[in-house]
Amino acid sequence: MAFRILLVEDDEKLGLQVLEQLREAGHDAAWLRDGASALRIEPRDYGLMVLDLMLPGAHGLDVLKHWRSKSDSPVLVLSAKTDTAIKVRALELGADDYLTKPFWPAELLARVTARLRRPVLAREGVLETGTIRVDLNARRALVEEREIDLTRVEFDLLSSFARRPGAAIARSWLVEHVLDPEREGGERTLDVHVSRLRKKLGAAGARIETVWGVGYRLGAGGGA
Amino acid sequence: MKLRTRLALTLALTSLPLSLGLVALHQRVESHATERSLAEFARNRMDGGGREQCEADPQRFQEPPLWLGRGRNGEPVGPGSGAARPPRPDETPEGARPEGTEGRPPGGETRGPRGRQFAFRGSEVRFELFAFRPDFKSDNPRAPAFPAELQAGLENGEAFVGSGFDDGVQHGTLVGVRMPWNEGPAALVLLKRIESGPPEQVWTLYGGALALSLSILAVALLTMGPIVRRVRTLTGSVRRSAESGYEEPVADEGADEISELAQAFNSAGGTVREKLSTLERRERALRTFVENTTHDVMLPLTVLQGHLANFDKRSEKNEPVARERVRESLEEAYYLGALVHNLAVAAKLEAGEPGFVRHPFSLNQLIERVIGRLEPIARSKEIELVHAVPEAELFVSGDVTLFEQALSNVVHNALRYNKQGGHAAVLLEEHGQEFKLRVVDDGPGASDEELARLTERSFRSEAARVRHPTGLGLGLSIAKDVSERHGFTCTLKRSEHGGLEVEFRGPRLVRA
Repeated sequence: MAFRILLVEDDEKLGLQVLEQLREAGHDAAWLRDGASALRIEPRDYGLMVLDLMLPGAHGLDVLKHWRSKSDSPVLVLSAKTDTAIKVRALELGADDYLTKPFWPAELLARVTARLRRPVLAREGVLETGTIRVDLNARRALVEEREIDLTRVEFDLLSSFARRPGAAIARSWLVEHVLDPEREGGERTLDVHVSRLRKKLGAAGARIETVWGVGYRLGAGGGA
Repeated sequence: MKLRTRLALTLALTSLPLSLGLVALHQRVESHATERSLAEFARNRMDGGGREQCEADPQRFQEPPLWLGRGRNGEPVGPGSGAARPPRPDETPEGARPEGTEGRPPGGETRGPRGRQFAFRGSEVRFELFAFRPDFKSDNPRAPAFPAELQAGLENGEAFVGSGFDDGVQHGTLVGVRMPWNEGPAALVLLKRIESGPPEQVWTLYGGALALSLSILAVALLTMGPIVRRVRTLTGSVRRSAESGYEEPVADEGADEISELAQAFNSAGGTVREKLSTLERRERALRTFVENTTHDVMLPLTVLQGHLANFDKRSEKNEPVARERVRESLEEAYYLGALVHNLAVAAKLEAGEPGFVRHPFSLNQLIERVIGRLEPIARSKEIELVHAVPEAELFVSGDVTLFEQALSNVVHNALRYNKQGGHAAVLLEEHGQEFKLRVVDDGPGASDEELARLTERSFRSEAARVRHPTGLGLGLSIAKDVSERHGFTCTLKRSEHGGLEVEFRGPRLVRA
């Protein structure tokens, strides 16, 4: 999904590089080189702003403060400083995240994407990811609109995964929060439940990935 | 100005004028009193028959009468000389005189062949009294001229005017008095008090005052002596202490203000010594660290330069670049950045508390940033880097820069020594009031011996910064140090997957 992104960076080489990366990722990126002109823009016109703190014309923190007085658009701060106080100040003034130089192109894009990620709009109590839909109120799970018959533990497992698609969830957390505390439940028991759930989900079951050293994750899957 | 000189000057400048002034004031008060009593005496005398005598025989009137005056030359003194001499304020009676009449002086009086005289402290006192008309002329041809000075005073309306006189032969006091009737031959009276013998030694009084001032001065200077000596000793002691870098204490025995000063110097010296040694230690550590790090930075830079030159040459010839070299270059670049960040962190740790900022931060976000930073390295090395955080954000209190670097170091270590196809996982869990943050890998791990060394090693030690020991270096040491500063624990052990497991534990912030 493409967004209008504003970059404020005074260094020519770094600015050009970041601009290139944002455009390659499909975003509509604009670039300002000084703080004074950054103060004049309308922050609501942009989906996200990437702001360097050391700027000619006006300090990044002042720009940030000014923007925050007008809009809530996410701001990602770039800083070469290892000074914690500046980061804390930036976060206090309403920055959403920061990146310390040097950073990788992929790192920047990951942070930008994370900030642009919008919550999935769904009916309350209904989680939908790919072909999987979980109705928390009715405790029903559907894959490709076909209802799947799940046990209590299997349903809770699936809803835990579906609530945070893409995020790895620790085995220990699942054992503690999903397995029945009354019954004997260890990580092996958990693995058995997950294995059963995978089978019941059919093709979508492959989306439940084992994450090394951590636990499980509901991945994008091959088809989604 | 030296203390003693200043004291002497101050004392001299205050005590000397003060005592001399007092003497002068005393003299003035005394002479005024003398003049007043002389004036009263003259008035009493004239009231008590003098006026009548004078008006009866103005050409001959004088006191003592002429015949009495001659009496001084052997003639007997008649009883008619009712006059006596006026009292002096400072004289003491030499004997009781019950028949003493008014106006008779209380002083001793001797009658001898030489006539009537007053013995007064070894000197003789005589009086001469002449009457004058209002125009300051006397009918008595023997009367002296009325002194102009006194005449001016009386013309100004004064009731009496006095002055001292000393013509080399005689000395004493002259008083001009205007009589209440102010007419006739006895309108004015000139009374002369003549003292024989040497004139009163005024200068002995001034000399006494001077001597008093000098003795005060001497006593003060004598008292100052030991004080000045002690201050000098103290100065020497403080100098020696300063020269020794405040190692040697300032010595002073005693229990007064000067000893207190010495004690104050000692405690100030102690503080200075403490600050100095802290600064010296820090400066030394940091200088060594910068020197070593400069060396460490040059190595990856050289490797990076070599690779870039190689890429340049190959691209010129349109030859493909080796993937392995690109990976190495990326990692060297990351390593350089991390090294500089670690240097900054080390400087901050060396600075102690002032460089340490505490504020709440989200561990979830911190982990995501660290993963984002290291993901490209993991990808290029084909190592799977995964992480799991609780759904609800976990907050801790601390310095986010320091702790981020600590975690980065640990995760980077997990990647750095791992093989292609290896794994590294970062796992954040909530444990009651605590957080548990684990970094697990399936790399080569460390031997028991290495683990033991790592737990002891400080990031300042020489061994900590060796670039490629068998595994772990500066980064882990910094991670441990940072954890300790936060009140977190950082434990190292072999992971169940064969590699290393580093676990951070500490209190989490519980939000209301």
